[in-house]
Amino acid sequence: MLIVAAGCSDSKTNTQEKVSTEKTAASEQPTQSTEQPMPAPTAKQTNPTIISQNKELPSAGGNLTVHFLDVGQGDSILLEHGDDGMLIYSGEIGKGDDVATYIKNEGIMSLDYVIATHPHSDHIGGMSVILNDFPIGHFVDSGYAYSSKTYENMLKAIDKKNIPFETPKRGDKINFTSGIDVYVLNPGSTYFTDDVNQNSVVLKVTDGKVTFLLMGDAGIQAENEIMKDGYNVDADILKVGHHGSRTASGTPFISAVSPEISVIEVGAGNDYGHPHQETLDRLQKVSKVYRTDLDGTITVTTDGSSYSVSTEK
Amino acid sequence: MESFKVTLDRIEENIAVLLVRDEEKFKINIPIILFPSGSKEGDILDIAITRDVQGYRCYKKKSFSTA
Repeated sequence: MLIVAAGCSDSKTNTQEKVSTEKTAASEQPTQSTEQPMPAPTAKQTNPTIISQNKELPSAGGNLTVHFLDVGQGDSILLEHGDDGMLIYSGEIGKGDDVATYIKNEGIMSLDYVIATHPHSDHIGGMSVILNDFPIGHFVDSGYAYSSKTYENMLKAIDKKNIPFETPKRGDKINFTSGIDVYVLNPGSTYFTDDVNQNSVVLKVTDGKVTFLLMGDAGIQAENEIMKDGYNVDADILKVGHHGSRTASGTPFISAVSPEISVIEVGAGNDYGHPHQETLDRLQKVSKVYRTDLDGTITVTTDGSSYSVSTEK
Repeated sequence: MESFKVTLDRIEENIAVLLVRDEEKFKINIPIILFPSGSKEGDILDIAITRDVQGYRCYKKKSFSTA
């Protein structure tokens, strides 16, 4: 518990890079409440300029900060915008306390949205602590019913606290906070029954010209469906699907996303060999790769026109 | 015989990740090749562990006789 808390306070004095982006992402999103399929993206026209920077960005309330928490082999992402907070997943069983402490240290005492991308325990294992510790405005779930007690207990706790339970589908918009667009790119209208990862809630988060694509554990099948349905997946920061497994991040998809930054949430010495080397090679060809096992908690802050990256280690 | 139930929480390539019910605080990794055919994510399985006392005696006997 203390390790993550210490990382939180230390991270702001550590490595920072500022990236200017000249992409015209602002024109890519519709203003209505559902995202319409877009033509396939074209290749980037400009390369970003990466500038070493030793000072912090101003902490104006308008900035969007995305924390990719180091929770070992699991995922946990905190979005912070002014007084609004969104938590995506909450880490493996036993990691809930670490995540809750981190959130409280950020001064966040309630969460507008909590999102369980899919019901595997490395993504909802710590949810009971989050449900207990924070008032929650909305709970978003993939909607794929699961047999585990962990999932059942999560649903019971949501019901007991009367938290609105939502299962958005591809193209829906989540009204998180003013000025930040959050679109759901997955799941689609039908669920995969043989691979729960493919039902992961995938979010495209846009602040002005800066776009994040948060993949959960979605793999190649889901990637292909999203692209087949015509959605624009072009993004600056990619939270890589399924901990850098070879089951995700297919070549056509990475080419379409063309990220500048790739973030892999993965535990050191995990049992599954994540991230797989061929996936790393693919990502490193097009982007700078950050990994929670090597970099600790990774924080990206943007004012909507440029962004900075800081790492705990 | 000790028997308990597990949830097949997920399959990571060739490894099945099991959670011991009901609390699901303990996690067990077992190669999927050892599972009944058709096993899939979300299955609830019974696991029985029995001590092979006779086998152990035979092993000890064999060990002594070859020592």
